Amino acid sequence: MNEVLSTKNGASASFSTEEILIDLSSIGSFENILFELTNIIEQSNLRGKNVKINFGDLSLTQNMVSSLQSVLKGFDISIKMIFSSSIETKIAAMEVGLTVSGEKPEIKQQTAASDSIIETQKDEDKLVDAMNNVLAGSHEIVKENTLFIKQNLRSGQKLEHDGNIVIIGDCKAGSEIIATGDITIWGILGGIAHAGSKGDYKAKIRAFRINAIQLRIADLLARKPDAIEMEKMDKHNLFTPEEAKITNGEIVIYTEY
Amino acid sequence: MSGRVIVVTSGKGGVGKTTSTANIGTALAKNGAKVVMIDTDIGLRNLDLLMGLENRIVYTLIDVIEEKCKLQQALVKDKKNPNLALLAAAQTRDKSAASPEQMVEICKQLKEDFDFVMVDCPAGIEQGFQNAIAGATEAIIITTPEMSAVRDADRIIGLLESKEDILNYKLVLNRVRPKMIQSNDMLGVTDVTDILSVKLLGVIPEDENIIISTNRGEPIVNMENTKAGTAYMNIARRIMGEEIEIPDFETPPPTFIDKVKNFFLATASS
Repeated sequence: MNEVLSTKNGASASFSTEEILIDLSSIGSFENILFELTNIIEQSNLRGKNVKINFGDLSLTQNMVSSLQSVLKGFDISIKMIFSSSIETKIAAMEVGLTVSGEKPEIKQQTAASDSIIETQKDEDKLVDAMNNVLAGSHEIVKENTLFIKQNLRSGQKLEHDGNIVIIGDCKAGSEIIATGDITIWGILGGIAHAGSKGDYKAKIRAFRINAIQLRIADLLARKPDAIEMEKMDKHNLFTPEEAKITNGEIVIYTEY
Repeated sequence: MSGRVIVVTSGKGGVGKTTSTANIGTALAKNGAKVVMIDTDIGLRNLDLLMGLENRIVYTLIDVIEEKCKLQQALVKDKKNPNLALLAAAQTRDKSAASPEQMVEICKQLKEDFDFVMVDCPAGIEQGFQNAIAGATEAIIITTPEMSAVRDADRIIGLLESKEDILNYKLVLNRVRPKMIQSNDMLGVTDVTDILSVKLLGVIPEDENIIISTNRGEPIVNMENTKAGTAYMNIARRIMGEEIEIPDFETPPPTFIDKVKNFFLATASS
C-alpha cells in the first residue's frame, strides 16, 4: 500500500513498499525546504531509511546540498537519489557524491494515493505529470542509466554519473565529464571526458568534434598534442562527428564509424 | 635540504601574478635551481595554461589534500626543464576545498625536495589568499603603476606584515611604460616604492610578447631577446642572491617639448 503525507505548502512524502519519495518541487527556497523537510520528518518515521528527493527547478549550491545531506544524516536518513531540472542542483549534488536524475520522478503509487497528492497541485501540473508518466513508460532503459543534460557545460563544471551521459550542448575547456558508461555530446567536446570510469574498456566517447584536453577511457588516458594552435573556428559549421574508443590498447579517435 | 617558499601575490586581479609566477619559476629553474610551482587559484586556475601543461594534469592539489593520490604523482614535470614542476589547482572545486593548515603541510613536504616553492596566489584577500600565504616565508608583491593596484598592494603588505611567518617581502612593478613615466602620465617606479615603502625586486616593462607567450603556453623567459623576459631573468638572479642593478626608467631623454622650449628660450635670449 502506498501512503502520502502532504504539508500545507505543497511538500509531500509518498511511501511505497520499495521507496520513499519526498517531493519538494513546489517549494521555492532553500530555507523553506529545510522547514518542510523537518515538518515531514517530524510527522513520519523515516529513521534509518533511504529517500529520494525531488527539488523541481530550484537551484541549490554544493554547500546547500551537503548541509541538507548532513541534516538528514542527523536523523539517520540517507539520500538515495535526487531529482532536479536545475543544472546547478544536479552538479552540486553530483559533487557531493549523490546520484542525480534530470527526469521527473516516477511516483509509484495507487490511484487513491495520487489523488491526495494532486489535491495540492494545480491543474496544469496534473497535465504535465500525466504527460511525463506516458513518456516515462516508453524510455525505460534510458531512464535507468542515462543522464540527459541540455545545456553547455562550462569551465569548472563537473558531471559525474553512474551510467551514460548525453549532453546536448558544448563542453568547454575546463569542464569535466565522468561516466561509468558512454559519453555522447551533441556539440563540441573541449574539456576532459572520462568514459567507462569503473573500468569498462568498451566505453566510447562521441561528439560533433573532439577537441578534448584529455580523453580517458577506463584506466587509459590520451592527451591533446602539445602544439597548441589558436582555436580554429569552423566558419562553415561543418562538423564531422567523431568517436573515441580503445583500439589495440590505445584511445583512437575515428571520424567515420 | 630546505627550500624557500615564496608566495606571489597582489590583491588586485589582472596585474600579472600568474605570469610572474610562471616566468620567475621558469627562470629560477633555468639557472639550475629545483623549482615547484603551486597554483592555489582553485576553480580559476591558469598557471597550467601559461606553462602549456594543461593537457598533462591528472591529479591536482585537492586530490593530494584529499589523499586521492600521493604528492609526487600530482607533480607535473615541465616539457623543457626537468628541474621544474607544477602542482595544479582543481578547476571543478572552490577555495574552501583547501585549508591553510593543509597548505602548510604541502609546502613543508615540497621544500624537502625543491630549492624553491613558488606559490601562485589568487586575487583577493579571502580564503584563497589565506591558503596561499599559509606555508610561505617570503612574498613577492606584484603591482602595476596604477593607483588601484597600488592601493590593493598596500592592503596586501599590511596583511603580510601581520603574519609572523613572512620574513621577507619585495615588490615587482609590472607593465611599466617608460615613455609614459617620463611624460608624467604614469606613476614612476620611485612614486610606487615611496607610497608602499617597500624594497624593489624588479621592474618589468610592458611587452607585447607577453601576449604571444601566454597564448602559446610558453613562458616569456624561454623566448629570445624580449624586454620582459630579460627583466624576469634578472629578478630570478636577484632572488638567488646576485647583485644586479635595476635599470632606470625614469630619467627622460630630452623630449620634443624640451627641445621646443629650449629653442624658444634660445631665440628669446638672443
